[in-house]
Amino acid sequence: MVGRGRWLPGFARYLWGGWGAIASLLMGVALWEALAAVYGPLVLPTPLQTAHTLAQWMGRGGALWPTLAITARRAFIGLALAVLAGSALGVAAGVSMTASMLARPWVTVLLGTPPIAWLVLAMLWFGTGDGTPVFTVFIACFPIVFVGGMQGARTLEHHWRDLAQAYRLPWRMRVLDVYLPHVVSYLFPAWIVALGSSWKVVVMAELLSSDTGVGAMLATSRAQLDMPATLAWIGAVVLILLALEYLLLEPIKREIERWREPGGVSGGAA
Amino acid sequence: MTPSLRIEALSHAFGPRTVLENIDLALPAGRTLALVGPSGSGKSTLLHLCAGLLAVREGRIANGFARTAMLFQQPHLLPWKSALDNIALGLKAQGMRRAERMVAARAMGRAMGLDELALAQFPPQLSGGMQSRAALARALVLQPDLLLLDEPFSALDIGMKQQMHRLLLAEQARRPLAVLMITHDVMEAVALADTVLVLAGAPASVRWRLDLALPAAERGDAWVHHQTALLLAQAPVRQAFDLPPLVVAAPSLSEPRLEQGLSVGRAVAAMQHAPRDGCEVVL
Repeated sequence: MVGRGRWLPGFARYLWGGWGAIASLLMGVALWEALAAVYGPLVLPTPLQTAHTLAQWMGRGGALWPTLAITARRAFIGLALAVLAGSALGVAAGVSMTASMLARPWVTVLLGTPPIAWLVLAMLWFGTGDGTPVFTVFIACFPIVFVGGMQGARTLEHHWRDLAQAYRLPWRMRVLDVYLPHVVSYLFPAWIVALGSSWKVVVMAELLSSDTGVGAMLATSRAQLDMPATLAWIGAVVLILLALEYLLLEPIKREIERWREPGGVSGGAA
Repeated sequence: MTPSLRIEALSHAFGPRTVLENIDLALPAGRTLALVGPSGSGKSTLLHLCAGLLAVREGRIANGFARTAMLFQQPHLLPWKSALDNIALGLKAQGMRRAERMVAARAMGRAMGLDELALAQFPPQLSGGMQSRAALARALVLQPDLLLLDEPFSALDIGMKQQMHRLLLAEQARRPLAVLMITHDVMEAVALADTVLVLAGAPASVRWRLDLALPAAERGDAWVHHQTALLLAQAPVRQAFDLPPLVVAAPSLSEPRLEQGLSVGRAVAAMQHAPRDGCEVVL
């Protein structure tokens, strides 16, 4: 389905279309600079000071990469578990009317319970290791993915079943050519939302429960009233999120949902 | 013996509501049978039963045709597949190799007037008419000997509708293709069918039958208009569609018109056997 000859120029066009977003972000940085000039470095260090701190950590022997790796590992494990369990169980629940009805109140409960409540429970259950952040990420992401899978399976319309039957599609084709693309078009946005919240939740969990990872570093810098370090950690977290979203997920989304575009056969136009 | 579709003593109910009662009909190879009736008269149910999308509860449907294809009310093209891949869907289901089925699908798409660009596009990017063509190509590429039409052209404008009719008639001229079509558009039925059956009532039964001797390819617009007016002038047909009684005198059937192959048709009484060489109806 993917023509490589078309993909690369499409991706280049997409990146070129990012100038607008970058300009908008830089305006935000300018505002930050202005506020820093008004309030002084004790309240708000300038962007340059923050960047300088970040650059120092980035160098050899700096704490940035190992710390990010620890946080990323926890977020990724929790997210992977949530994506696997949420997709499978969500689709299964969507297929059966009874299961959907049984699952609905639980989804509301899970979505409505603040992650901080789960975090307190997880700290009591899992202590200060990887277990607490991983569990908190899982429990925060699971209902999001579950709802996506359930919606996808529920909205699988009658006429696709009729079509599959009238054209005598074997079960493999029914699944791969009809049901799966439909369900994935619902699941994929849910995965992206889950990714975003996993990154946020893991930092929060680390802040309160761990002595390693970005969250723990934030806790330390806060205790030492080290404003440049605090902002540098926040900046690192935000930059990684932006990079994941716009360099990885958005291009993938554009590629697999090319059919949703209203005009033309060419994909990837920004 | 040539294959045929035979329906015997077919009844169907959704819960307590009977929608079809005791319907018998036969459709031999290469003929076109149109079932017309008001919306909600059970036509769609009958077609879905023939396609095997609903289970037959009472009566019997014997489909002697080797390959049956169906056109739905909407094109129902898979939006995540290109038009070409959509056309090839049934061939893929039959296990045809990719290269082969792409050649067959491209040829059929071309025959339906879809160019290379349209074939490469995804259905949401195609116009309604193009989507209908792709859906027709998807059905015809299977080389069916029975085609079930569930009002597939009802949403198209008059020009596109006629184009679709021409494409269908061209395929029928090429090889024996039986067509069972349901429609609420009487003119469409008169333009295409060898036999028109008017379905009405609750539960639905056949009320009127019209056999047309003139081959569909030779019917001009004027002829179709005359014949439609003639059919719609018959009291039982007006009743079936809930039309008010005629104010002006019904068009009469003079000798020269009979020679043109026009016909008023005839009422179908309950439980009366009416065998014909074309299509056979028993109520």
